[in-house]
Amino acid sequence: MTERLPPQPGEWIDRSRPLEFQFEGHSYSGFAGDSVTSALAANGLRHLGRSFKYHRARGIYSLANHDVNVLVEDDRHTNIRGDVTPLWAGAKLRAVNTFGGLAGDRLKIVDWFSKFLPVGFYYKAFHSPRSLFPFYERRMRNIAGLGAVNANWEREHFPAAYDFCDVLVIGAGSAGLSAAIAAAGLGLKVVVVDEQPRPGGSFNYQWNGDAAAAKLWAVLAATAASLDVRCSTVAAGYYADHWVALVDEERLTKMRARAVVLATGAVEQPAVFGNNDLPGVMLATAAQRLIHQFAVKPFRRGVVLTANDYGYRAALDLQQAGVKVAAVIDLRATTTDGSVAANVKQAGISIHIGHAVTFATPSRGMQGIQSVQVSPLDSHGQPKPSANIDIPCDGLAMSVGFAPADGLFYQAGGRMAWSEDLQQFIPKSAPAGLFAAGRLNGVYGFEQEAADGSRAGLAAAAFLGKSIEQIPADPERPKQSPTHPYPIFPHPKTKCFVDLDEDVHYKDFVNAAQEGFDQVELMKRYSTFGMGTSQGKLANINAIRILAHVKGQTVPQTGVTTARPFYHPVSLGHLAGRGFHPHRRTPIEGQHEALGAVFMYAGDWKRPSYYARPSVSPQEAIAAEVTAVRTAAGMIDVGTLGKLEISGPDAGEFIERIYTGRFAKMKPGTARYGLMCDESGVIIDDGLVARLADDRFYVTTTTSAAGAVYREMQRWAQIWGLQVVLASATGARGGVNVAGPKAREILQGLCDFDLSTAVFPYMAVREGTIAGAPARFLRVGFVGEWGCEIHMQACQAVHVWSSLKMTGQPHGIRPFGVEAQRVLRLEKAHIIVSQDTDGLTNPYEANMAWAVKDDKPFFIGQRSLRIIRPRPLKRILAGFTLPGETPAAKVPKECHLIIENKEIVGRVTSITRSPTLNQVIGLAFVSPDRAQPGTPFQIRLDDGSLVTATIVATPFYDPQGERQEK
Amino acid sequence: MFKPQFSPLHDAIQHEHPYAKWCDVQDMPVFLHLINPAKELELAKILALADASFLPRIVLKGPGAAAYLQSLGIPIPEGLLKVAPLKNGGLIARTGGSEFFLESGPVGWPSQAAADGLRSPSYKEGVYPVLRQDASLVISGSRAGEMFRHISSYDFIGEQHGDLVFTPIAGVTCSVLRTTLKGRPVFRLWTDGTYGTYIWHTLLEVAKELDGGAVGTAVFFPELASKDNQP
Repeated sequence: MTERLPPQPGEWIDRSRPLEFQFEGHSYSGFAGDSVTSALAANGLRHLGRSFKYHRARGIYSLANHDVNVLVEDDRHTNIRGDVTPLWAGAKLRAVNTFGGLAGDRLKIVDWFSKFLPVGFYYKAFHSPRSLFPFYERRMRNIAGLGAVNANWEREHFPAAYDFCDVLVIGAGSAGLSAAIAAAGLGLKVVVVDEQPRPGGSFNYQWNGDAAAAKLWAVLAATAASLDVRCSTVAAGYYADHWVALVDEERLTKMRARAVVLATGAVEQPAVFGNNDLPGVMLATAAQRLIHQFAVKPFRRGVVLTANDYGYRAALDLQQAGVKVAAVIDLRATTTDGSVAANVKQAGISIHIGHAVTFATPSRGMQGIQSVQVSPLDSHGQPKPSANIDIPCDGLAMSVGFAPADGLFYQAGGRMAWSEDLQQFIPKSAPAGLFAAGRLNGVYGFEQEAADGSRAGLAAAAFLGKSIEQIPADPERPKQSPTHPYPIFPHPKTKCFVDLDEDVHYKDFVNAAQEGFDQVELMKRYSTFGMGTSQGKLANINAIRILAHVKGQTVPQTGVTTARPFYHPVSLGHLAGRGFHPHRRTPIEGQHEALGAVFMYAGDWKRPSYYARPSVSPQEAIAAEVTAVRTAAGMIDVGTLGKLEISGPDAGEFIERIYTGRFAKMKPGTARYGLMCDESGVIIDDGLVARLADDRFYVTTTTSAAGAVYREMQRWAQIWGLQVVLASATGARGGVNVAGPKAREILQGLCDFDLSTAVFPYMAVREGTIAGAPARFLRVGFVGEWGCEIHMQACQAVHVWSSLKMTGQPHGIRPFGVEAQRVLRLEKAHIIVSQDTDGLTNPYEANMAWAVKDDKPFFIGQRSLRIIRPRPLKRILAGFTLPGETPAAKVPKECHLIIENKEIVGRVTSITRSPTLNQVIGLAFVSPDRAQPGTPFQIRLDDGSLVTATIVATPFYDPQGERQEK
Repeated sequence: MFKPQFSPLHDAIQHEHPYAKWCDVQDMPVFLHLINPAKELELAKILALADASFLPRIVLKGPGAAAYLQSLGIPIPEGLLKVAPLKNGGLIARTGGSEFFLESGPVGWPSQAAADGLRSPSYKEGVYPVLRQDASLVISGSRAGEMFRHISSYDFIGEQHGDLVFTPIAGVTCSVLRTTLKGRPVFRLWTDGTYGTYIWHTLLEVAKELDGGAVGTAVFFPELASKDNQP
């Protein structure tokens, strides 16, 4: 650790806990409390990364998560931000985005060709021929970019949590802590968050030796010790109603606050000049963070470029740390009379007033700097090259101004206005309950920021109803801005970087403006400034200044770009959280598991697809289940069906309006098929409508639509104002459908009522008991055999299922799954809504005109269907078969297209090989003029070949319905 | 005829605790203790979940529901989502203007009349019974509120009004009530029984991270302990 300084007051490292680690294959050591970057710097490493596009050498710049020069990876994680990631023992790290290692990166050659790669070059160069674009795209993506995700690593789980407070304070500097203390003192529940590992904000690095600041901080820190202060916690996004996403190492916390104080501070901004990106060039605050937080000497011989007193403090800090400070370059024409400048003079440091750094001379290999070129500025602030001087140095610290950390303020809906005096945006208006404090509010100075924080804290408390005698007056902002209005000194022959994340430099802006992308949002998208990992924290304000300069406008006339979440990058794992995947279980799911069911998802449900058997293929298992239903009996869990009860004096009228069919004259104890359309006449669901009593109906819906249908019914019940009571029994009732030629015999042994056709005919409904359990019985025929759906209390479903299984065993009963049911229903040509229909299908297209009773007074969709009906149909659902000898490879799949004269005229909606008929059968949308039985048509397969099918009449099986109705 | 009934959580609990002690309540196996009773009592102070699905419950809806309940001697909560206790440890909650959710205590409904009227509610004019087969949980312990913060956007720690709350928990609509049971502060949670296993597993996962766990029903309903029918 060649650059490690002796212990510094308040340093963050724990020298008693050394940590060994590796970087680029070499071994180093650091201390607990080091960041990855500070540990590398302590070991004398300056060149720590390669840039996004040109693969230029990069080093420490902000040391504050405001740039991503130092992005590293290990075998598990990539894009680790070295500046703010704590070092850990045994880390084996390497830089991202290199080809052949950091030092020998082969793609640094890209920088040599950079004049041929201006911003937007790929839009122009590679758009033609179009077919080659994917090739170029892959190459560019490989060359430019960040780390590669290791997709083979197992998922990491990050728990998410919700939290609540009265006042959330974002930023634990002097302003934030003062706000928190003020609000908490009035009895409010306050939470303070800060992205840094320790509270203190700028006190941690910028106020070294300031006795007044130290005294105030001691008071603040002691008072805040009892507060809920969460460090290393990023406020990543601000959403409606003061909902703030807080991200720490472990989790994302969704914090709902009643009021928020933003004391997020200001981000120090860089100057723009030639080679301003090379290792050794850094923000003054980065150098100060290295010294005070991590006890690392930033460089050996340095120059400070400044436009405020903060730069002078940085010069003193550097000298105190053993750096030979060659000069302070002050952009201002005159300096302040403050003592800090006098101290610098007294320390023997040369001061160049009214000068600028215009160029950094690279060291060998472009991996650092060896000197800076300094030019005096004329009365217009322009450098005078004829009077250039060269100052040898290996480091440059820049302190030319600040930009408010206003991302969250904008996200919250706040508005900012430009302050010409302050040369920064300051809050103009804020949503109710949001208060800005400190540097974000344009207030500078440790005590002043604390006072402004107290004001904001009291204002937040008053907003929450606390009685405050007097809220202090608005803050006093500095008379002299710490921010230079145009710290941009383009060098004609070298790149002057504005956005280091995206490798966007000064000329890119000029070129973009010349090409017409001269609006700030257009320029952002064309040049990609501000679109990198750091979201323009160091680039946006300089980019706006340059655009304003090019267009001859002011900054407010140029405008700002939109701030969106996230303020700092958030890992997808954090966003995913625990990954809740609600899973509904029918009461007999455990029975299916015991029977070897292979499950498939149906919305939140898992349903048995089929029941696996040893040495039997899935197709054979499904066919055997079909055969069992056709020849003996089968039982299927239909507990997933929607089950709704509609009661009340107007229940009949309600049903009449909901469904397309006619139900008014239904007798209690009977059931009918029900088809539901929406107001545009599109089929949305179907099921059974059973009348239990004059004022009570029991209806079933499809599994997937149960929730939506219930909500829709509730909506219509309110709109129509009918006297109906709706209740869902979907989860409260289990369901089993028993079907097959032996089903009645099996059931009769368990039920307490006569199941003969005379007493319990097709489409009848009864309430009775099965194996002693009360249940509702529906005589149905969905699978084309004598069948009965039994709907029982969920708690007794296992008992009913087991009783049926046991009683049916001698009769050959067999459980069957969804796949067998699909085959069985297709043999009967019964449609499945949303499989054989789509989001545009009306009943006429589905060949279900019989289900629409247009002569009744009203039903949902009636008006639309009356308009549709006279019009010629464009498609109609029809049954088809394939020749018996069709090989499996030539059997179409669902959604394969029907082709006529090379045009798409329809699609297959259902298709299967029927074990009963020993033939491939299906349903398809075809042209109405090609829907007559015997008409051939062609279906295109995945490989582009065509197979010929023939329209046939439906149902395919038992066309007279004798088996299901007998 | 023996007609076994099962809680929606039966499979989940039995799978994890195959040797749990249980008793039979109206043909339903109820898990009395899943682990050592003393350990369960300790967990109940930190964070414990128990299955209370065995308690009979029903919803009555319709314009005549309030009058019908009053005729059975059952108190009617005045406001929406207000809850009133029933004799024998049950409760009634007003879940709509004319909709009431009732759950029996462990030893039955408040009176024979109420039991008869609610067990087999006849379809009287303006009174419509709704079958309920909820998964019902009791949650106790000092870290219970913290557990909810992992899975719900509702502030169960800050809001202490004692009303019934309908809110998504881990993506599933649940009813939650902050109340006391035998003097112990608890949360009661009800959800559609078909989501019961999912909710149980999800809550348990979080509870275990917070040093909590599952306990037997007897921790909260000690009167069941006398029903222990296992050797």
